[in-house]
Amino acid sequence: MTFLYYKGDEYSYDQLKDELIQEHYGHKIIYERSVYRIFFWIIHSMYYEYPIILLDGSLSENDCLELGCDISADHAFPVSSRFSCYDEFHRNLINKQLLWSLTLFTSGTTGRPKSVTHSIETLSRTTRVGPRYTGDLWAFAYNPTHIAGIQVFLQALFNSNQIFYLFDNEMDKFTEIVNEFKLTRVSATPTYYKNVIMTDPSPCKSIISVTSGGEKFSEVLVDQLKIKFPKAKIHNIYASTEFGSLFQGNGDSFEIPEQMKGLIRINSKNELLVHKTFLGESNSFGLDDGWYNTGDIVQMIDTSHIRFVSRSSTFINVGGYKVNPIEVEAKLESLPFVQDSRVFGIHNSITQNIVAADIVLASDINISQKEVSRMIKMELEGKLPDYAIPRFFNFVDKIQYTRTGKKIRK
Amino acid sequence: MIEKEEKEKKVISIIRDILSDENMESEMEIAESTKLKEDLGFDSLMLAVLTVKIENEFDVDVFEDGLVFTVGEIFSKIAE
Repeated sequence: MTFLYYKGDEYSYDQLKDELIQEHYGHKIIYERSVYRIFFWIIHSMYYEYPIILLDGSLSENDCLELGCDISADHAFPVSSRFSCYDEFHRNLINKQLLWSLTLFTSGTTGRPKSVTHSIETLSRTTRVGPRYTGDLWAFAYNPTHIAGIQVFLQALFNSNQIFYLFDNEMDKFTEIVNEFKLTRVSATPTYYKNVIMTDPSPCKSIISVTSGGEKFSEVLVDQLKIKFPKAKIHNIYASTEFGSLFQGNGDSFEIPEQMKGLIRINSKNELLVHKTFLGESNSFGLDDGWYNTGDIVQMIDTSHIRFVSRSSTFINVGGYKVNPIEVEAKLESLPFVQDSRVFGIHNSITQNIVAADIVLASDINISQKEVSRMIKMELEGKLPDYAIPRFFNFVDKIQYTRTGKKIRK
Repeated sequence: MIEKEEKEKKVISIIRDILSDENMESEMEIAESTKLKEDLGFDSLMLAVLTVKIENEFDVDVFEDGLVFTVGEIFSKIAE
């Protein structure tokens, strides 16, 4: 049976199992561009039960070094497994009986990405297993090294489903592939769905479940999704790199499962607090008495439902991706011709926000602003993900600071 | 009528600017039937830039109700 369809190639579960058994060396760091290799190494690390760090293959080796991961020093080590076969491993996986952890990076509030380490328990909290899910065919529409991608991957792996990679450049083939192979489930950001509908609005009748995380579905988009996926149930997921998936909901309102009551709280500023039992491990969470402040403003609808009023304001949400303005400012200010900067989001109905920057140029710079915008974009390519690179620039004389030295953020 | 033509010229010049900012071919013919994604290769970030620039210029959010495929559809939205 097929495990993964990726750029016209097909990888079977048999091939995966053979390679798993034959590969007796592991790596601490997974830094791959091939989606099959990423998935293979994640499964390998679970099968042989060793901890891994998952890096986005589009980062430069230098970026990895900045995160504290030296690719050139990541030597292979011999591994052995306690499982006699794949099926035994798979039973343990479903029962979450694995000595395994996965570390990934998320935007930190201090401008330096922080690492979060998850166990199989925290990563698969909302994973569902059973006959209802057995024959699922997944349209895979996330970066496989980001938390949402890992969760879809685990949902598919738990149920031995087939995965069809339709992220990035593959997105244009979405409708064609979904209809040809009669895919049943898709999870993606609202921006991805908007793109898919704009590329080809014809319906995908085989899809029974449409899920999204990252940003809110607008009512307009929900109406469009109902036309595009006429037989699907539409859900929202509230999730983050820090705690994986927490709640499912419809539109604005999310249901709090019975077992979570008492483990989430709302403080006097109406910010949602999550108990540490839900979090991965990190030394940079800044917990307050065991509670993690999400910064998201919520409202209690009744004892089992909450509504999100606004998302944490530190970050700029670009098409479901969190951009930390402080990180982007640090990159801008490392350029010799930028003296100071302030990064912010401009709202729009395609990606919710797009990144913009106020720039104070170094005093000896004597080139046109158009030229400077182009230079900045060129310099930042490869140093920041595409969605984090500012697309709008205002050239200003100075950036406003508060009395305590913080940039004034509008 | 002249105003309509000028508005359309402005939209085309915004589109060319975005293409050239992305180091993409920007001098091709752009007509009403030209498709933003298929013919010009706009991705979602480019569409986001386009919608912000058009809103700044004409005070119309052309993508508010989602579906805009062609340059001609932008023309109709700003003419409304």
